[in-house]
Amino acid sequence: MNEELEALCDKLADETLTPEEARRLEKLVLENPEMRRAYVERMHVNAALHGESVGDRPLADVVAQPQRRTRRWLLAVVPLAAAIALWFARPGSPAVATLVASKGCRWEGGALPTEPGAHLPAGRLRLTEGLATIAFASGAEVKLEAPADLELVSAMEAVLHRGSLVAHVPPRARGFQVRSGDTTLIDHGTEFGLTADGTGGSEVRVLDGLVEARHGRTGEQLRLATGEGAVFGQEKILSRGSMADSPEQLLRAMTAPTVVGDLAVSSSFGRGRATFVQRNVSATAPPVLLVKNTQQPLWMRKAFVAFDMSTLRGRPVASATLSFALAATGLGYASFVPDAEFAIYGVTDEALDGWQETGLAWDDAPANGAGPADVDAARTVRLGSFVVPQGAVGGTFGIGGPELASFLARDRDGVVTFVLVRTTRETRLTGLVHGFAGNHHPFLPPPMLRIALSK
Amino acid sequence: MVDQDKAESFVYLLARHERQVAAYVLTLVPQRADADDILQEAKVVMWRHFAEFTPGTNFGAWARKIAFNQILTFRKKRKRDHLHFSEEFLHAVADEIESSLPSLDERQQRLGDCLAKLQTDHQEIVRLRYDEGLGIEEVAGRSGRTVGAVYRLLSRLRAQLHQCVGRTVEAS
Repeated sequence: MNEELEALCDKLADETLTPEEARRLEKLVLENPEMRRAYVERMHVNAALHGESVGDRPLADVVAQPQRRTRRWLLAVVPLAAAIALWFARPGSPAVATLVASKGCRWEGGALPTEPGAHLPAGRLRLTEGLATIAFASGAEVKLEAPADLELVSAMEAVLHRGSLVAHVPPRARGFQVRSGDTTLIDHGTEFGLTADGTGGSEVRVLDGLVEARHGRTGEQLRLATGEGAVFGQEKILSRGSMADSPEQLLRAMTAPTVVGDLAVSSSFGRGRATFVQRNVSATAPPVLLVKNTQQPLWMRKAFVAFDMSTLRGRPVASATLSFALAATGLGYASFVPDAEFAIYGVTDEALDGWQETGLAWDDAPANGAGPADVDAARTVRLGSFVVPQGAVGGTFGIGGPELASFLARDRDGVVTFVLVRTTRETRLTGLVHGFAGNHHPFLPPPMLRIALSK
Repeated sequence: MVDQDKAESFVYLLARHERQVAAYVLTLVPQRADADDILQEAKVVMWRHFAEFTPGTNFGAWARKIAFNQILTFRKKRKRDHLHFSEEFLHAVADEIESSLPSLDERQQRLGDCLAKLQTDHQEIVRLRYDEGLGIEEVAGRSGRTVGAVYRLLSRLRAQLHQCVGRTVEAS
């Protein structure tokens, strides 16, 4: 090829081209179609090399701009647009199930096959409204009740991350499994209902036939027959009983925030706050809290969340969980971030609890550290961590344990602040930006603190 | 609901075409910082005018058109002496890109594989220069090479990658 063109392209790519050389390059390219083609190909390689890391800015920056002639609905749309969770069916993957019927269904994401008859590959289905009937290739049939988050694994296996389903399993699909948290249900030709609370708890009710339940953490096993039910906790099987005693699910009542003895506080309540910080960006009412660990200082992001503890009124905390709903961001490539560990810190210096949610700057964020996962160790305590698997686009993640409970018990000013950082760094610079629903997400729950009080 | 769907489809379409549009702008404006600004402004314009996009038509083509106009706007804002190329040149190059787009897209997809074939220390040079966006001198400092050596190496690596993406396109 033409050496002169190559040399000029190199200088252009390295940004050392002089005006004289630019004129020469222009002449070559304009006068000769072949040169033009060669030029485009060369500069396109250079562009594609850059392109992966250019443009990694919050989409919120884009959609926060008013759209023409449509300002009126803007307020409603901006959080949504920035918060959309996209569900991508992997092309070419075989269907494990078919969507046979849907009633008033609304799905999260735009790429989902929502027409009855659509083939569903392995992957995550998130139903925000309605009732969907899914027929597995094995013959098992699942009615999914919104709001629900179901992962199709194979024709014989599914994972219920959140919500309720009723499974009907004909004899030929015996052995069909549904997992939820640490619990595995193996169906022996039955009909059963299952509800998952999204934080590892679940409840099963056998409507007809026989179901075998195994708790992965404890190894406990149960065989439940028609009319029986059981409640599973993260740590163990909590209870077993007859449906005749309680025809409605116990679990929903158990986790409902109004029940005496249990307290659920969201970060949108009272003096609660939720935002993220990024150098050169000031987020206002972000629907999604962006978190990223990268070597590039400008693209590091951390989330800050505060909860108003006034409803606790000084009562003793027995145990607690802190949970976040994962929200896809559309920013960066999941290919460049392996299974990602997130660490949660509690801010121990209560003088820092008064931070401003609106426009919180990197340098003003409470107990913030310089690095992508750093916090001020003298003013924080590490409370725990969780892992978001590579490729996950939904689900609830969080921590529990004695560190969290004792951190809450030490609160004196009625407000607790948490810092959420990703300790896993991207393997290449264009890696995924993780997101968790904030206080302004249109349909996902805000960060949630659940507290069990000492009796 | 209609408005929500509109916002959803914008985010979805943009996510699908983002890499292509970024490569388009950078081919026309290889100065990374400028391209980054142009791209950001172009996305804002796309969102503002999204009501005018006809669903079902080619979003990529629509997005490139907006990006191209944004390049011209950006050019006008800059001082004369800062400009490398004429508007005529930009139009000619943009036309060339449009006519060879399917093959350019394929080449872009192959680039990852081609990068993986480079020896590790060369991958690191590419990473420092392109992922981290470092200048040549910083790349030299970080990699323990002289500035001249980095220029020569980058030139060689680009030629190698150019050959590799070209070869695989023809082979497929």
